Amino acid sequence: MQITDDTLSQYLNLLVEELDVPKSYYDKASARHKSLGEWLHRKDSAVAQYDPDVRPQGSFRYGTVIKPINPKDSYDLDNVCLLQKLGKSVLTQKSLKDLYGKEVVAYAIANGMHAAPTEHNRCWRLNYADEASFHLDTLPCVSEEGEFVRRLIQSGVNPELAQRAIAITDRRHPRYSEITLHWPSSNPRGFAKWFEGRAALGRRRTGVLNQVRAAVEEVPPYEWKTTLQRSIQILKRHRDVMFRGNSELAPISMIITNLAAHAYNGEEDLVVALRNIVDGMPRFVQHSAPRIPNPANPAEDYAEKWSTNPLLEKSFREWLVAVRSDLNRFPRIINAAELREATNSSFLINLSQEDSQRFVPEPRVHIRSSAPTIVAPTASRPWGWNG
Amino acid sequence: MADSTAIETLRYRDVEVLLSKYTRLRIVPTPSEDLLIAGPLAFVCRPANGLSIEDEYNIEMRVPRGFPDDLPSVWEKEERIPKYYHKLSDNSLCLGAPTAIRLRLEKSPSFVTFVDEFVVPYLAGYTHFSKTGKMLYGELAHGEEGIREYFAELFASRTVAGSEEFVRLASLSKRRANKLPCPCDSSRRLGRCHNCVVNHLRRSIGRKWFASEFKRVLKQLPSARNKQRVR
Repeated sequence: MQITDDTLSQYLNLLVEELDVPKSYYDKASARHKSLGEWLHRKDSAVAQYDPDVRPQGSFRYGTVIKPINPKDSYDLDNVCLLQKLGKSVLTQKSLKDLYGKEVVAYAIANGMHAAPTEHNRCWRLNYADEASFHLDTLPCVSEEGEFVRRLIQSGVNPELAQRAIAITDRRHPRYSEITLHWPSSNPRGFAKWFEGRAALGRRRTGVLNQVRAAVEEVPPYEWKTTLQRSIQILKRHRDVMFRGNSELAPISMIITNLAAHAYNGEEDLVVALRNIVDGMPRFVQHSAPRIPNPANPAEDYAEKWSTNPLLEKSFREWLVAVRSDLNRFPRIINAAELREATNSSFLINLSQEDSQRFVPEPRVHIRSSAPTIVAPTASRPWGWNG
Repeated sequence: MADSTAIETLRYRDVEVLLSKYTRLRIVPTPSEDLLIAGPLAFVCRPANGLSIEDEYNIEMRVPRGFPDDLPSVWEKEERIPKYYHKLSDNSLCLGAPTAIRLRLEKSPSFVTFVDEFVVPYLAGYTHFSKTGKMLYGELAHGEEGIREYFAELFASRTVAGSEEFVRLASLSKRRANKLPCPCDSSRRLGRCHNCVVNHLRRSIGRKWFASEFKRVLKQLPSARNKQRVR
């Protein structure tokens, strides 16, 4: 007896419930962004005059956060702080980073945070010590100039996304300490907007939501829990488990999120969506740089490290094979024990006896083994050369 | 993906076929170009004599990027198989003569062929041996004699002594090799004796294979090494 797609969907949805973080975490994340935003706008703030606008980014914005494998690991929070009344022509990247850093350090002191913020290449990191540990990477930036946005639009980027392009600071940039218009460019807010559009493909088709449309429109995207978001949660967990011994080789979440959103076509069913996503992902990896571009800024390559470390591309491809193999394996599972074993080895989740039997009832006829039978009338005669 | 990875794509499809057959094997990320596959390998092996051997071994298989030109190495991870039982110096399983494996993979260059036809029979062979003390598929003699016995069989030579010379001839160009004496002791040159079988094998898997095989063989055959020095 095989597991049907319906049952498999129920099973995968149960896994998502296991992986999901409590809504209170999202609320907490939201409160932290808001709190930092308010701090930057206070009377004595050195950046208030530039009208800072703090927006969440990353998985807490996309609604794709999952619990870490190791409960002691911290959650990554990301936000982008756009200084709306500042431009590239009036200060260096370094000046902006330092100016912003002073405010972030003062924020940490004012909030009694034990660990001092740390400066990273592009952002400042605030370390929170809570029952669930968080760290918040906050990225200072200014708007990209009009000419750059026009070029993006000319290159085919949707104007609504292009206008969200930003100029960021990077300590590794050769002109980090010069006043110049040549800043690293990025567009996380454009990406988030694009992602929400892709996730909404599944939302629009979900009839149940129509009844509460008005209320739902108020719901932030991270609470939508669309099939795309659930699919990404499953994929990220699979990645975390597979690469738990070699995390430096793991495909980054932005690559998974980007490619999954591209390959998703609004499927409602989780199994159908996952299969199409996994089959479709390689089509959106380009032959040459940028291999995996940000749809809101094609020059930004999420796979830029692949060119200097080809093992990362190999790992990505191995991971895809592993996901596909696992998705193909589940329908062929013949008993509850095998389902528990597979759930543990693919997702490091302990499925209860009761749940596993719900998905795979014990067969009436005992099947001895699912091991393949190899007919081998002849074979190599072995010998040990060191024997 | 990039055109240069067309072969890679085929390789990954092949891995997928393997994992769909042996469902508990998994890809293990590794910081090298090799592909590492590990996990429990469960099988039911049916040799010709009506036996049915069911077992499961925890294995690790390291596949070099150059597969099938370069052969995978396989380890048994729970030390069920003792060192004295057909293992190589790095403790990997001696699944058979490398040239025999390479020739088979030339016809069917897939991971499934490798596991079905070499790994499973080896493991089933050990299960059988551990229970009965008998070798399931027979066994080549240990040491120099076994190696020469194998090459004599491969190159269809009735003379076992010095059969490794066939490997050296297969590593040379056809023109050069044909002028040299045939190692079968016929007193004829290769071109007038065992040239067909040597040419066929050379064509199948290439001179390069035999050149590296000959180097490997020399390490195992001190007497042949001395002969080389004289030559």
